Amino acid sequence: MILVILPLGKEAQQIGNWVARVIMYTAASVLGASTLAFLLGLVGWGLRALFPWVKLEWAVALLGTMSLLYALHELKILHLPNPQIGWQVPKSWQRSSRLVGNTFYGYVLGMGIFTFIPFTSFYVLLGWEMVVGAMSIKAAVALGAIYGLSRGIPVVVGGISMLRGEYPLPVSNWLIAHLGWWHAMNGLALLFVGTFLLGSLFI
Amino acid sequence: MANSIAEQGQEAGRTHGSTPTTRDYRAWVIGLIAITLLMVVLGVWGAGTTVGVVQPWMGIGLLLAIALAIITGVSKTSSA
Repeated sequence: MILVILPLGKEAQQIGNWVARVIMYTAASVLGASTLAFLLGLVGWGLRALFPWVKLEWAVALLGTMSLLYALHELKILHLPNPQIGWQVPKSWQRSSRLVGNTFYGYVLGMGIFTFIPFTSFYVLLGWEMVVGAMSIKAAVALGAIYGLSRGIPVVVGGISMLRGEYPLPVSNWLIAHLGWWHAMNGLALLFVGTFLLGSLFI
Repeated sequence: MANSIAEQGQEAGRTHGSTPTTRDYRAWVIGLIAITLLMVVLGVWGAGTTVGVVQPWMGIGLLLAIALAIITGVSKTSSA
């Protein structure tokens, strides 16, 4: 995605154009992720209103268990369901205007549920947004906004490196080539989160 | 389990662009197991320092969620 937003060749000299696209992509990603977090937060809030007798411990246990199981999935020790729609954002969105197209990309990819879900930590995050929303919808939206912003970070970093005269292609290729490392990192993060959440119930 | 981890080692070796060697696998497997254990120990230790059950919507619970959100977001954009 970094190189979809950041241009190749001569286009790179039109700094104003691609900087605007980077900003719009990131802003739309924040908006998309916040929208989904708001909706999930509402679901969590609704569930809490419907089942007020369900204790916090159950939510923490569920999140912790989910984290540990998906950690094992990310580390390729266990195979778990990885449901996803797997839709690809169409190139045609950029036909009339790349700025508008990239903004739509940001919104849809920020929501994250319509496209490929390569990392199962995303499911834990969605579950977490629901649990958080049960207590504070604002906090759920903030969590979504941070996720959306972090989806834009690699593009922003690539843009900064271009402004400094360094083309981000080698870095982007390196990042894509080390997919196994990304999965390992997600798995380890989930392992930490899972043991922390479950540990707080039993220690 | 060891096979699954070794597969990741192979993938790591391949993505380096070099021929994977047994030493690469060993380093990868030992490194992964060591970091895995470290994460578990840190998680349990962190839980021990927390008073009561972690509250996912505030304090350290929300900080953990923020860290997870950042890792997930950066991973998704960087790897595609």
